[in-house]
Amino acid sequence: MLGCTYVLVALGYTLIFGLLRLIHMAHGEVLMIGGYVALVIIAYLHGNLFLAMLGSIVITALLGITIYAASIRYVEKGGHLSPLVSTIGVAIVLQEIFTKIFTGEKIAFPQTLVFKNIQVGGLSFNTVQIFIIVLSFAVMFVLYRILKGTMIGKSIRAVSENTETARLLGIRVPWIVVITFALASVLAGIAGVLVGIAYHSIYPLMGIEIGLKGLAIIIIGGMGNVVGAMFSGLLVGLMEVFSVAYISSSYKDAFTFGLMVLILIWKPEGLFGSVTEKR
Amino acid sequence: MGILLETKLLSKRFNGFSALRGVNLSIKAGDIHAVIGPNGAGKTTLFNLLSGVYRCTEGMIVFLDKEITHLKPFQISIMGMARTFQNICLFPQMTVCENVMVGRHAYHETNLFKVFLRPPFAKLASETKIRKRAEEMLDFVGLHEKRAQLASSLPYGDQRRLEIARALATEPKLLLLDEPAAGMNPYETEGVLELIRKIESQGISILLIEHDMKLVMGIARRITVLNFGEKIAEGTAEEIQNDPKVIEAYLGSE
Amino acid sequence: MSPYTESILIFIGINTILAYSFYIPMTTNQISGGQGAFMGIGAYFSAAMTVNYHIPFPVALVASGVMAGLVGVLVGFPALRIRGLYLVIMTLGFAEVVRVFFLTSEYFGAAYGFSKIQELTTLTNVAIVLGLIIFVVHRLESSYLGRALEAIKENDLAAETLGVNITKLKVLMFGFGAMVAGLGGALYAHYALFIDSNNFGFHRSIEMVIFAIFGGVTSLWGPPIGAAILTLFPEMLRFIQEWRMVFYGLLMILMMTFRPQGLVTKNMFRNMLSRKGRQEVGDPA
Repeated sequence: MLGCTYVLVALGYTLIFGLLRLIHMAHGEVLMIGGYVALVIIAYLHGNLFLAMLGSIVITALLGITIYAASIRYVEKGGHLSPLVSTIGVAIVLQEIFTKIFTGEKIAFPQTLVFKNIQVGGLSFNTVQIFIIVLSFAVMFVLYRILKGTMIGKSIRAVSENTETARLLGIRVPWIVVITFALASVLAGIAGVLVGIAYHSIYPLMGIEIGLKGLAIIIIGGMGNVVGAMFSGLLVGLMEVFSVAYISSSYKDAFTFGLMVLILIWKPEGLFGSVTEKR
Repeated sequence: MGILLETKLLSKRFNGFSALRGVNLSIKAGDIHAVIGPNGAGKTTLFNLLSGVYRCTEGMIVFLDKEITHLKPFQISIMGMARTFQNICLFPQMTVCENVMVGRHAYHETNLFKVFLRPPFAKLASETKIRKRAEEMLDFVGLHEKRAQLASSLPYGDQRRLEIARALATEPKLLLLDEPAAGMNPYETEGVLELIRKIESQGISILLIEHDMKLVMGIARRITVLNFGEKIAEGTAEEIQNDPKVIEAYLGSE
Repeated sequence: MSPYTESILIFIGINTILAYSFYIPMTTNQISGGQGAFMGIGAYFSAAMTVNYHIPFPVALVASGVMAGLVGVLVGFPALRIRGLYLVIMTLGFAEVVRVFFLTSEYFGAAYGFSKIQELTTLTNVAIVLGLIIFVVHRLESSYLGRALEAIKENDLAAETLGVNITKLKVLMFGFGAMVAGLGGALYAHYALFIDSNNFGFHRSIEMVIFAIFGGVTSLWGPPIGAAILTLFPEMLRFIQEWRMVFYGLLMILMMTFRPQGLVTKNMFRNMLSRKGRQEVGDPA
């Protein structure tokens, strides 16, 4: 279950990296804001979960586009480091603002789903988990269909492969970039809401935490590789759950990042990536 | 004349793709030896293997009677092999002179004590020596006036010369030139030809990759022809010109 | 000198040292996003030495610096295989691992942190450490090694074919940077008097990066100017203190958009001087 939300985040990173060859360091913040939007809608505006999800989607899409316009669009000339740093700047700004508004504490995420336990085989699930898993897979499926089926999806993949050629074929690259950003941000937003549902609480710092995990996941799976992102997201999710259950909860982060470091050293292109010869 | 460089059954594979297969090469001291072949024949791969940039999949390289197959590039450079690059690899933000001075790195003739303990505004004697030698190299290739300019500001032809000067600064016994006349008009190519002759007269052996046949035929004493990673012919200019396999490789058959 | 001024200067000094810890690996194009970890190592080890073993501060300082440096060298070797962007992430990951280590280590106080550290940091020893660092870096850069480092930064492949042992230099710079971070950490620990693993995580690493990049990572004088301005600014404008991080974040966005090379650049003085002597050399393109 945890893995599913990770996957959504990882997919967002993958999309953006595949497109622009850059890491969107504020992606985690988008997730966090998605969660908060949902919170606000449910708690203060008395909307239901569906509305919250919708609101989250809309706002995060807009947010993603704004981030792109503000910090990435004009920054590309400085080399690879610049967009990285400026998105870090965005992340810091967003995180601080939200910390100030909502204090650093965790806020209870309202319960909107009926909580029931179900026994399947020897394992017990509850409706919340099922909902999250189902929804995540639904989203992944939709994304898959979009990328494979629609014009837009194909355009995105074309631009990821080769921007120049895509441009020559008449694809309006700037638009595609904007759309991709929106798409990735929506994924993060949904993930944010799901995290809130799953853990019954959200807090401003979760942006960084989950964001960094998301990074680790795409490294492990291989950057720019959608299948890899999905697989390693689930893998990491499982790993963390197991390490919490059997070892100790403080170590779970260490495992994920440790694995990432190891992969970078032994197989830098990730589990599913492709090799480029160096030496 | 002794054999300077020898490769035995040199091969390089990238994930199943064979870039070079079973290449035996022998460079005699004092020679100008050219490697030609259609695009993708494996010529630059060969250079990368010789200079230690790539690791061989199979085979052996012997330079100056020592096996260098597993040595790192900087070690090979110190032994006396220098190279230039197909896509110019200068240090763009450093000056012309500084670029060449990097070539003198192995000749620094100083130690850490002197670096850290010298009096505040004094210049180390070794530094002055390095600069002098670098300027001599620049003079040799004709770039002395531009020595204080940034490397990135040089016109294309001068950049190639700079790369050669930089390689020469390492005082090599064998110089690998990767397409030194690429992208040049006939006038500039003449200049390169002259420079190569000048280098030869200094006693430096040259291994050359080139597509410009006039240049190659005019200057190379021996020519090796590669195609699809394999050696298909070797000999003097006349022998190569009349070799049916070579003609087929360049013009295609059927 | 008022205690307040002294305190500011000490902070500027420590921040400058930390900024240098990012600058130093950058001289060979190694972007380390995890210097916070090395700072933490220096901080914790020096604290353990002075508090638990009553080792005199200068010794503890040097020893913890060396320790951080050694870890840096260890990390530096695998770091050789990883380029640019990936290295940033790898070092970030490494920093997280270290952070968790200190978080769970009973000996170092785990979640409660390490306290009862004596205030042994003074303006004098900060100045001495900083002075040494600047001296070493300056001497290095103006020697044949500095040229080699710059060559590595511009094109490490070409540099290696010219006889530069890039492995040795890259690992050395990485380790040196780590050592400097460790020294900064030790000085910090003995001024803040209390440390816990949160002090050395992602935020701290990013702060160091910001100081260095703002000042400019191509010139020796970039880090001190960046650190000085960015430490002073929040102090002078008290009301910003609360929003310090937001300020940094916005600054980064603006800097990257308008002046990504930082305030001070290597060729800045050369260009300014050459405007006078334009007639001599041919006009560069």
